[in-house]
Amino acid sequence: MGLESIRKRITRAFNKKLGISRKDAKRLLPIKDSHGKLYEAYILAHVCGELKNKEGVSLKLSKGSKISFKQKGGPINRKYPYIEVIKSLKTIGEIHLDVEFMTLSSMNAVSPNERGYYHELDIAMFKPNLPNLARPKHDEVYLAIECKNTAMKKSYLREVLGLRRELSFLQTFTYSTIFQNWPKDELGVNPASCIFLYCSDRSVEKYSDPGILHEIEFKYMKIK
Amino acid sequence: MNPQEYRELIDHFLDSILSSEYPGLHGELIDRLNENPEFRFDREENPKGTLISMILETINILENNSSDNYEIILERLNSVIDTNSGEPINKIEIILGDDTSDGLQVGLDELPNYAELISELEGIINDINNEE
Repeated sequence: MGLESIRKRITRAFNKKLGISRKDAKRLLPIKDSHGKLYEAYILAHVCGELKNKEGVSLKLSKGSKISFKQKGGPINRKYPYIEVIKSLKTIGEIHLDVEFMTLSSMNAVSPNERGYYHELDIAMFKPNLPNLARPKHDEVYLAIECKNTAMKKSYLREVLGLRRELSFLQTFTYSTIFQNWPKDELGVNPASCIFLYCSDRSVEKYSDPGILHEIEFKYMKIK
Repeated sequence: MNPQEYRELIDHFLDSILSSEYPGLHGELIDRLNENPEFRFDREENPKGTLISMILETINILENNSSDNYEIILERLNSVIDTNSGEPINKIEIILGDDTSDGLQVGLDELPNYAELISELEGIINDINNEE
């Protein structure tokens, strides 16, 4: 081995092609968040596993046999499949991907459809049977999950703190969630929505302390 | 190898990523190194350890972006989600463009597969560890 041998091996490793054609690379180029979607899919599988194994729900795709993420978020769109969350034969929620919710700030807004009054969630469980093309209200959000397949940044902390501010008020008493075990059965916020930030950078855990007060879970998770 | 040679390899490793086809990898690695004090460029104290840590973090980034995970993810989804037809979930896709329009659909299995590069980087770590 030695310096030159390892140097050459590094050069060779990164000189290799991506393994996709130039045409495909060009087509995939606009998918700025495509790698993030792979990570979101992994987190979706993890969260569904937790709900099934710890909360005791069953999960059913509403139609078809595809899971569809979106490049751009929007209202609930029932053209695409979502996941029904069923407990004791009753649908207690629906998991949607890349859907926007209406913020607390929008409640008294003159023009609630202004862009600042709704925010996108990567993975979310909402109250079931909401109208098609509606944006769930803040109190119809049961579980909100942000996924970051990138280096942890302080701005992500501010982002989820803002998300909490637009979903609930902090309380001195606890309020019941719709869950009995997982993620939590009660929280010190009202409405009692659960928020997670999953990140593939282990440094996410260094930012977790503010989550204790604001009822936000910071999780380091990598694929595999 | 002596400490100066490891420092040269650190520079070469970063230059190689920067000039490679792997979009954003260099910036992502630098961001993570800056965020994690243990990965900071401690070139004087422990250049060999720093080089290995950099390669391990590069592997970590690539693993979370590689489409060879697609089947694993699909399998996990199918282990917890049922379908109306009883058939397994057979595709994870991304809808390009406006959510409300009929956007182009791309399967996440079409994303780049970094398995070969990851394997090569693991081999390089072995080579470094075998150095005196």
